[in-house]
Amino acid sequence: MKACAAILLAGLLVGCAPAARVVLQADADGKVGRIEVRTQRGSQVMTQADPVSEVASATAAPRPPKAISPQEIASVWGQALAVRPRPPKTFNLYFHTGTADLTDESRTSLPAILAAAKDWQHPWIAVSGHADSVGGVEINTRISRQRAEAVREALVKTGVPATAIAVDFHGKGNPLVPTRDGVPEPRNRRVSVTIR
Amino acid sequence: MVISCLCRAALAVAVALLVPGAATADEIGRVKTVRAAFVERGGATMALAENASIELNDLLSTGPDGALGAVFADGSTMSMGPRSRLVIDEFVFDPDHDRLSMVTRAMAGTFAFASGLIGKLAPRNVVVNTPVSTIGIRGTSFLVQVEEQ
Repeated sequence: MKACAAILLAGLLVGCAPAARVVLQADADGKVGRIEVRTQRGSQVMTQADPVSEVASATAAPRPPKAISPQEIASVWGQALAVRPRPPKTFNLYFHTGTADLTDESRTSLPAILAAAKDWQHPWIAVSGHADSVGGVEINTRISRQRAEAVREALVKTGVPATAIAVDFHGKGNPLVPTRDGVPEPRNRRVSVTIR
Repeated sequence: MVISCLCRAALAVAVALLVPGAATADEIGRVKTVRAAFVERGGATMALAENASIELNDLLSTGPDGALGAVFADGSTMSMGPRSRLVIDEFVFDPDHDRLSMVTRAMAGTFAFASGLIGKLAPRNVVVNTPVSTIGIRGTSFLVQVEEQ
């Protein structure tokens, strides 16, 4: 920053490195989001993959996004990208209404979860129980918990280490498919298993 | 009788495990990949190992040859290259009550982020601050570089 200011004072604007820069990239699934870079002086929005936005200082507006080459990305961020963790993997298991009994189809996907967990370095597995919105809060909380426990037990039986699994439950909260209260929705009678 | 006793003990264990992150209530993430990386927590600095817990307000840093890859409870990931420093100022992941936010402070170095559930459910609440700018993210992957001040 100080060196930069000195160069500015000398009138040598060229070669003054940006203090911060941001590159927007596509997600693992190919989707590109949106990034807004703000300083005290203004903001820039990026909505396309692989432009860079640079900021020279807190009192300068961000520069308009410009192209950045894959070579430059590799030379600046190569080491950070090399240790980027793999994207977490989520499996959804479904249940018969009002019970902690897995549907037959979901039962058959348990081995795939075990295979993924075995393939994962230090798997950190979140097992989250859910219910649909039929019935009261209390009963749905209980069912979502029983479902999560049932899945944990089933996973441990197939060989997933119990210590790698953390269980939580949400009742009718955080539905996969939002519905009005009291609507039966098979896709919300679920336990999500996320391997991170 | 003996069986009932064992059952009770097993139940107690099961209940203890049920509370999210019971053993480490403050755990918000885990270290996946590490090379010469450190955490400053509560005034003490420790070397990080693979699978170590990450907590709110941790200052994560890497040495001249260091690198660190971490995953957070919402499934977002953050990795950093050498000579990097980052603080996790805010991490709230409570989808049931719509309480979702993640605010990090990239102080120096190079970073690669990929958004998770917080970014998906509450896209306005994911922010990376740098010494000179505020970066608002709406569900995407992105790279950040911050020059040492």
